[in-house]
Amino acid sequence: MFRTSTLRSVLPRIKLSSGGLYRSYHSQDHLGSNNIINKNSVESRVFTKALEFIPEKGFTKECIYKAVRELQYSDSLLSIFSNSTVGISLEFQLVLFWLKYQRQRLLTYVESNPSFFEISGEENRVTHLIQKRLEFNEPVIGKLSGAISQLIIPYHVDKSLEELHNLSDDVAFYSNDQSNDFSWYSKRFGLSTIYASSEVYMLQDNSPKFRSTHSFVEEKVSNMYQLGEAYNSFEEWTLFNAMSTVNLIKSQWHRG
Amino acid sequence: MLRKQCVKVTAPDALRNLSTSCALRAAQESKKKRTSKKDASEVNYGALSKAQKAFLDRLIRVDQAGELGANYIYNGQHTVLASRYPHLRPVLQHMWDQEVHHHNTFNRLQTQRRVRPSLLTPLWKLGAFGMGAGTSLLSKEAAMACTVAVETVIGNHYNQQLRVLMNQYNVPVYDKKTGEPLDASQIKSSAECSPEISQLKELVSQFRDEELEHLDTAIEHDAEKAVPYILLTEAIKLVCKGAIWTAERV
Repeated sequence: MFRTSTLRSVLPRIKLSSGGLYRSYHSQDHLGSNNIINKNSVESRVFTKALEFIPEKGFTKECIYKAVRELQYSDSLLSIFSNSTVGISLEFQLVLFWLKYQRQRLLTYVESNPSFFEISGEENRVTHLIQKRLEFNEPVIGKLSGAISQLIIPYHVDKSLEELHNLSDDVAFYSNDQSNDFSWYSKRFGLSTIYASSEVYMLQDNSPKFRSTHSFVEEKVSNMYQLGEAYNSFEEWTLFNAMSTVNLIKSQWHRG
Repeated sequence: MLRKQCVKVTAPDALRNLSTSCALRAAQESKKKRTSKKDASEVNYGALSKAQKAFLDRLIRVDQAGELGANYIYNGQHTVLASRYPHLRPVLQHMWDQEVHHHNTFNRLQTQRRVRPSLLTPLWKLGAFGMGAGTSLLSKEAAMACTVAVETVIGNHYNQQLRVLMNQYNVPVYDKKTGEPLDASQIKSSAECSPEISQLKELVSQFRDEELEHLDTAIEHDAEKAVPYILLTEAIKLVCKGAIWTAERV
């Protein structure tokens, strides 16, 4: 119906524009266009089940084996995952699925909590969402370092950065980000940095209910927004001065 | 004439139905069908394919960058020309205002639909302002020739986008209550395409018309008297096409 080849043939290897580095076009009227996880696929059913065993077994193949058995699928199903075209290990597939699953949870949280939109100020909404996302880490906190060590393997870095940027894009979008120019990039880059550093901070946080992680996030986010404001004021100041200089020269010119 | 109509309505049926009563029946049937046709609020639209999403993504990105450019071109022209030629001021202001409106509209769409803005926005701003101000410094005719070149390219580009939007966005439509797939005869022609897409089509065609209006305005204001007219317009057209190619991708 839609000739994919003509559209994609020009730069087939650059994934920037569609479903690659960033989430692509968000449809309003076409149901099912924006799903993060396809809940009906066998793969996602197995992996969703496998997530239940992570607190006990960590991010290992064992979780997937156990899920396949519990769902009473044949063991041969495992060969489909391990020989899949993506060419990544089972453990890393589990990590990636876990990250996607948490993004889906964040979306569900935003959609089912109208009170979220009553939080005033983009900055506060961003802080709230990052804290919320970090809360999803709590049940597996003891095993999380295993996931992180997989994410930073150089061979995996492109995929893990993609997930990280997807998360920060989600956070920015749900918080009603209105940036239209280069700030779109700097904001997402900043959010990714904040999220990654907070997660590492959280690993070593012993405070009750991870309170110090939460205040760490608050501080980082407010720093970022202050920096943004400072940059905007600087830009305004420069433009104003440039224009008044031009006008000054013009008026002196006309006086002769 | 009656015969003709009847054949038209029941073409696949046997030819023995060629009679007055047949025509009446056909008319009644089509009336019945028309009343039961669904409108946009009664249906659900199927998911967009990856390629369809990718095209919309590109469309919004490139149009946003284009309108940003147009906005800054008129800004540059206005800066240079408004004080030198007071009679051009309202003309330029009118065109500039329309471009600002276009730009704001695409800015809104970009944030709503989660489209990544062009990475090179600072470059587009600088380049467009430079182009507007530079041609205006040559002469007011050169500025108008610049407008002609830019609007020609933009008009063509909008038309190309409209063609794709018209042809390639026939997604399956489902009944909202029963969830059954509907075919084209069961839905109103206005609902064949989701409001999202049809609004985009309307927007693009309205903006195209306004851009072409600017083209006419520029020609009325002596664009063709610019000295190396062909050279100037062709060079600018080339630059614009290059910018479009880049803004779609980066």
